Amino acid sequence: MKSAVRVVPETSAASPPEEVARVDEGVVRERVERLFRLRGDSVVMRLLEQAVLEYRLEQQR
Amino acid sequence: MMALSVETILSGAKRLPTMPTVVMELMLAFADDEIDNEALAQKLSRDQALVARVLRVANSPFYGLPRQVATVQESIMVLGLANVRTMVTAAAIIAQFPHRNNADFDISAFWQHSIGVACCARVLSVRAGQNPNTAFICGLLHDIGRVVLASSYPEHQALVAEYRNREDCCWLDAERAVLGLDHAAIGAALAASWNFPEPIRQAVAAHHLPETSADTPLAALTHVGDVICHALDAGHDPSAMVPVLSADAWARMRIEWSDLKALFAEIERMIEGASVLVGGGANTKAAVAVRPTLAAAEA
Repeated sequence: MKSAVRVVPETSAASPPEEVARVDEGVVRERVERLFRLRGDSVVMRLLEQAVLEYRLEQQR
Repeated sequence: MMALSVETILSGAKRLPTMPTVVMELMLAFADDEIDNEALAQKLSRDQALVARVLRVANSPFYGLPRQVATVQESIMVLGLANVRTMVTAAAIIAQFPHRNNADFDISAFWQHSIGVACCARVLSVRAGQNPNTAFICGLLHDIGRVVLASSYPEHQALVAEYRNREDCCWLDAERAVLGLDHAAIGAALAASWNFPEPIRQAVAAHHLPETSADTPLAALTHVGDVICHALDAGHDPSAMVPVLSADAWARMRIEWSDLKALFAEIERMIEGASVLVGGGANTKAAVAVRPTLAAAEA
């Protein structure tokens, strides 16, 4: 199953790798943050969100 | 529009499936380690459609077998009794429900999510000391009330979908606001009408309220599995949101936060493989990778 964060970033073919990586990371963070929009002040939700974010970012690298 | 109650849904819906006897016997047999291969094969042979599904799953990339198996007995020998029993039960349950989409309900996405939660519950069950096969079925059935509502009362489902989209809330809240009842209550009543084992009924009923069911660990397991499945974004639904995780249910899983990323990877491999149950593809690499995971879950 494909990861939901493997979105094609809006960078041009000539974009340097650092810029592509930065855009990729932004897409990942935005998606995870949107998924967790019900978290409120819950500590376990914040920890879970952090774990998912780190997992997705490691997959990107 | 007619008001709904759980009783109305159960008594009025004409398209509610009946669960085949063999499925009930298989689920009851989860706790029976004494059942032998021959007895299971005999049970299955009473339903040729089920036999065909067993062989389809057994010969799918999920298991990545080096050669095709041609009989139920052979598949049990190659895959193991517990694997076959769980996959047959899952395939049989999915097959009982209509496979028609309507504008507000994507049945394929529904079953993909259900399989995702089933895989999460199965992986977590090893840590939580629960039966992995029962955990898998609890995950598979946890939202069964939703498919009943959508297939039997599509106009009501449409109103719920409209409310959810407008308020950007979870399905549970939308159902309660629009219908005055929710899919957990519908699913629990349905599971009771099918005479499903009590732990499965409780998991379906309480997967959104695990705190209310301290003596039903499968409800906590299913709740956490549901939350993790949403968190892993398995459905790629732009409107998806992660339900709030119960701290109490989480504590009962006995999982260290530092272990979670490894569990995520294990769960995603298993989901990829199990997607064959709803006709999804599993690539060979992932299917091969999941085999030791299943074996570990059986241990």
